[in-house]
Amino acid sequence: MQIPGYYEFYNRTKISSGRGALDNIPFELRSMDSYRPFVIADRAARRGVAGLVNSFHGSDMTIGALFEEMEGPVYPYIAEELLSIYRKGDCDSLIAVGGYAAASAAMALNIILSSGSERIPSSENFKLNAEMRPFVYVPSAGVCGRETAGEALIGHSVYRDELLVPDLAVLDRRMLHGVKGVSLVPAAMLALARSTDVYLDGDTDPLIASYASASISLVYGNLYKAMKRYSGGKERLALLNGIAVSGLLSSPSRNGIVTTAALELEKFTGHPAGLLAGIILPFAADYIFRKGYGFSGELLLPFAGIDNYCSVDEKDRGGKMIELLYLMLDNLEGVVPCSLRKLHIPEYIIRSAVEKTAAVNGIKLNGKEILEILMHAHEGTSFNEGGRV
Amino acid sequence: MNRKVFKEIKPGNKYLKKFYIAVMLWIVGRAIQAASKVDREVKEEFASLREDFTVRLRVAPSGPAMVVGRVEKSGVRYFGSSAGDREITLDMMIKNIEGAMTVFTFRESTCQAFCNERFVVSGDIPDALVFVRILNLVEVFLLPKIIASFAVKRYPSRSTMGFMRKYVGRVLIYIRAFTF
Repeated sequence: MQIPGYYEFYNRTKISSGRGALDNIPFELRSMDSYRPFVIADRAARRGVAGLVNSFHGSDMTIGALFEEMEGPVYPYIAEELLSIYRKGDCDSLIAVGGYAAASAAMALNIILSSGSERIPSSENFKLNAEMRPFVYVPSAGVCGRETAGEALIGHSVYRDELLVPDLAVLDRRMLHGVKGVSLVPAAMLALARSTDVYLDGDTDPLIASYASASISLVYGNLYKAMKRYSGGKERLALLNGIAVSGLLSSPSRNGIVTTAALELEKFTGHPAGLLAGIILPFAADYIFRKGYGFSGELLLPFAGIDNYCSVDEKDRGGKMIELLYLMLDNLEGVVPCSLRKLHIPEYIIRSAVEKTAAVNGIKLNGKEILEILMHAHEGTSFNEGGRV
Repeated sequence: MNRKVFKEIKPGNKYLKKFYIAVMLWIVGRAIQAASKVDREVKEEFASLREDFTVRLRVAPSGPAMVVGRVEKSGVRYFGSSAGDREITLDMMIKNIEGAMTVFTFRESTCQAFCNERFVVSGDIPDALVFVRILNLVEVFLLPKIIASFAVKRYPSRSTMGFMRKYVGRVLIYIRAFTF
């Protein structure tokens, strides 16, 4: 791998995963000088909240307030109400349990606390400062893959800042009881898309590439087993690890073509960005590979493993990689549609999304190329003579 | 939203687990004191430490603790759960009671627990490593092989710890630890 001329890397999030990870939360909060956390939980994750409260037993720490009714988008008035609960409970830290709604709510609180006012500022005009409180994220039901990405969806606006990422992400199997593996697939697809974008981009720094590689290995290597109904608990935890790591790759200047296109389409259609990213990914990779835009066969390594990677000739690795991506889409039939047409997305919406995607900084393809990719994804036809590989 | 509903939660205590850990730490502390008189290798490990060496092994935040330290004339003494006036030269803290249970029910060895960051060590790392070796030796003496093999990194073979040394040492340590 070539090292870029200059790069910066900073990762603020500590990840604690595995047996007893939940029980470390009181210690970590204490080390951040916090003693009364405010727990915000998604309604779907209520079952896991009992496990979280149990982990505080014997810790001499009081949970300042518990709100477990979070559902749907976080509107400014909800954030302001949560602020009043936070203040009434005399809380000094935030724990979000569940998915994107709880995480966005916790991030919204940090934004309001930084602003020094009682109302949430606009997404173009907010600044974060030392008034932010420690933020712990515990994934459970409803994960969508954007919780550790430092972006909060408040109302219809996305607030992005690298400081919004959680200080600590705690991944514990106890929080996945009752969570079906199939429900994690959209988040897994978004994680794969975000991590693959790093390689499709061409020039990236070695640390981001290593995060991306780890995320792909964890997600792709555990995806099918995690979907099993009665077993696969360990694999679901590994999948969650991959999803959490991929979120750390996200930044306003780093979202690649697949992730950006999926997020723009999500705004127009309401379909989960993960599902859309899963459909677009093979077509985008196929296009970039055929055009020779610096697509590296190295991408095969985290997907296929070292043995299969070494057994494939160097010049065939790119092609093999594309085959794997199309095969993945075929294998996920029934969970992830094989084309955008199956989601009833009309062409004019795709064209609108293309305009927005091409306007994002850092996207190397022009509007015409992005349109070609999305039209192929819409029809479900690959780039070799119109048929599927 | 009814703000009155969102009360604080004061989680309870894990008395049974704390009691179990307290008993285990008491046994281990007394056994370390006895082993330092009985076994040559434990004696040599302690001799390599500084003269005022005192280690405290505790469970955060206010859990049970064990304090063991060197005293005059190459002795080792178990001081109970409090060091009194003695300065602690090595403080090993287990982050939470569940971590302590994992270690003291031998689901994880001490070394594995270190790797999994269940401990926080304040003091010299070489001293911590010596103390872990002493702990491993004491666990081999105290526990049958089937349990001790989970507790230690590598169970000593017959060439490293002979039959006589292990079983005579075990009997003597048990007698010294639980009588005088």
